[in-house]
Amino acid sequence: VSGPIDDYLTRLARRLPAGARRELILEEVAGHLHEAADEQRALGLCQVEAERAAVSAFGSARLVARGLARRRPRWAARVLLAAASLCVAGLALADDLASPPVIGLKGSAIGVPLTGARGNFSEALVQLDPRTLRELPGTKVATHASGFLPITTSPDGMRLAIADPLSGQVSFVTVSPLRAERTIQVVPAARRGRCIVEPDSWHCPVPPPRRDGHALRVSAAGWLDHERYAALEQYQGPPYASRVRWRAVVVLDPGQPKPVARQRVPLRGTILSSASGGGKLLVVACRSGHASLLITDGTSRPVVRALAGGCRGSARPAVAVSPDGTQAAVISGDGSVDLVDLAAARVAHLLVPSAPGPLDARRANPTSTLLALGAAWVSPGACWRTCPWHEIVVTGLAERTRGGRNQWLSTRGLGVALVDATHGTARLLAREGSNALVTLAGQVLVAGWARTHRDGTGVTAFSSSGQRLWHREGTRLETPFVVGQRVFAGHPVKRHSLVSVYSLASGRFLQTLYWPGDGSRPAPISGAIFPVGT
Amino acid sequence: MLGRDALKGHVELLVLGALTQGPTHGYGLIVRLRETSGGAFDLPEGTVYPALHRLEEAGQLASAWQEAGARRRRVYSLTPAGEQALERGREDWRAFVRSVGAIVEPGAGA
Repeated sequence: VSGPIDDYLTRLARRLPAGARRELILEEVAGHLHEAADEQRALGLCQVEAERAAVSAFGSARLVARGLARRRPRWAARVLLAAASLCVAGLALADDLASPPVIGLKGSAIGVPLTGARGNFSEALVQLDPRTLRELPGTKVATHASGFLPITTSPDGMRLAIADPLSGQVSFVTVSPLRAERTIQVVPAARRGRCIVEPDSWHCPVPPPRRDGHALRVSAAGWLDHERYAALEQYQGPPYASRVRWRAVVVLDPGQPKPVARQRVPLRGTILSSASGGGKLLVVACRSGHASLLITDGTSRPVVRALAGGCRGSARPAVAVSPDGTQAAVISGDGSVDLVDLAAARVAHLLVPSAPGPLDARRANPTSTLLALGAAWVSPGACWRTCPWHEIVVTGLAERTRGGRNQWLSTRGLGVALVDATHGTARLLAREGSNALVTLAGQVLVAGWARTHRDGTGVTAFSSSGQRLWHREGTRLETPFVVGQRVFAGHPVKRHSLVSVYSLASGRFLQTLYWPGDGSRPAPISGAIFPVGT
Repeated sequence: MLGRDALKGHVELLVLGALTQGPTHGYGLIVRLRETSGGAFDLPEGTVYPALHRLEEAGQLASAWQEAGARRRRVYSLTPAGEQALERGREDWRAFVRSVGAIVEPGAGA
């Protein structure tokens, strides 16, 4: 398996003209990346993490290649122009002539600007101040879509993909600079249905009106790698466009005007959850109580494997791909953990005895209905020789019911557990908290408590090994997320929110932000670290 | 901390200035910029190379490959033309700062 540095060099090579100069540039860049990775290793990161950090700090291959294509020195002209322009108009002119951003603010999340969506229907993308989340003046990108928008960020954080439910298109936007890059038609206009596209499901605001109706929709999507995006389209035929007839994976390259690959996949049943990474799209489907997993890269022969964990109703199992892209885990509500070797497409069922909390939703909350599980791989501290991605943080959310499915009481978190995927053991870190509230920020796991907890309500941070780092009180918390070294945790006040900001490292309270509920305050969508499973 | 927009367009001047401390390779230059600025800003590391290559093409930098263990490093150094360009850039920068200061902070520099 090639590492992040090799992948990056391949992408950079594709964008540079062939020749001796390219080889020298690649050698120079390779030396730089390996030296930067060595430095990260010395700080305690494992090889894969270190290479990923080096690549992230280096910047987008596209921007670097574009910069290398420019040969004319420009700084002198720019400084002279700025010196001669002693008015605002002159400064603006100098800014117009400036090259793409080359200076990054220290402390931003992953070296890319914080991008947010503004408006109740995310009508525009804007850049945000990473400390206050206020909108920065400058470029805005209209999304030209209404309704729910699934916006996903590429693994390197440099690009956004926006699926437009009405047009059946996917639009790509570069984050730095914030700019619309390309729009690709995924679903042929003549065949699409009037439905909303979501990352792992779909729904129709207007039901197909006719018994013989049909529809072609996107039912799952995700980034395969930095420059390839996969969408799972499905054709539904009569009656009332309710029966799935076939599914296909469509691979998009933001650099290409049309889909680069389309392939039928033999996945049957209702799609419950999906994830992507390591060059593959993973989709979990449920049919007659049996769960199956699709593994596809859009070009090789797709593989469907049966999962030992069953499926019940619409409860969504958690799917997570390890950071090095070699493994995946599927966690079901009965405590089953299926480990997947992605290279060999081999599934191993992991027995977790006395599975606590989210790993056994029914035992933990016998009167509840499981809504969703969330999972992510964590690195247990520094690792030197290999990267032991053997621990998975698992969380869940259940709906408490009494006397029947329709008597809804409340939702509650099922807790936070760490599963050792090598030894099949699990530890319960906290009895509450849910996948809507747990954020994994580097080596820190941040859990929010939406209701009374033995520690009170608020925000708690754990190390990746499960050690409690700090706790801060709060009430009626909304989803916490992390930007740089700051934890933002909101709680609703009437129709608005107050957002408490804490230091990620120490838990120190920093400030309170007011967040109006009218959508005028942009919500971060890229550059921030969001909760597990969302 | 300096914002991105405030520094946009001055990378080459920063590179020339950093190389007055002596020849170094691209990664060393990044570390030097980071440490000299006291961490006030970080360059996305890849974007320093276009600047280095442009300056070399303009004759303001010279480069040579050097062995460093199992790898080779391309080490950059200032040429006389680069030193002259840096001096011109410094004068322009001072004039720019003075002029902007006179407008933004009237009386502060008097």
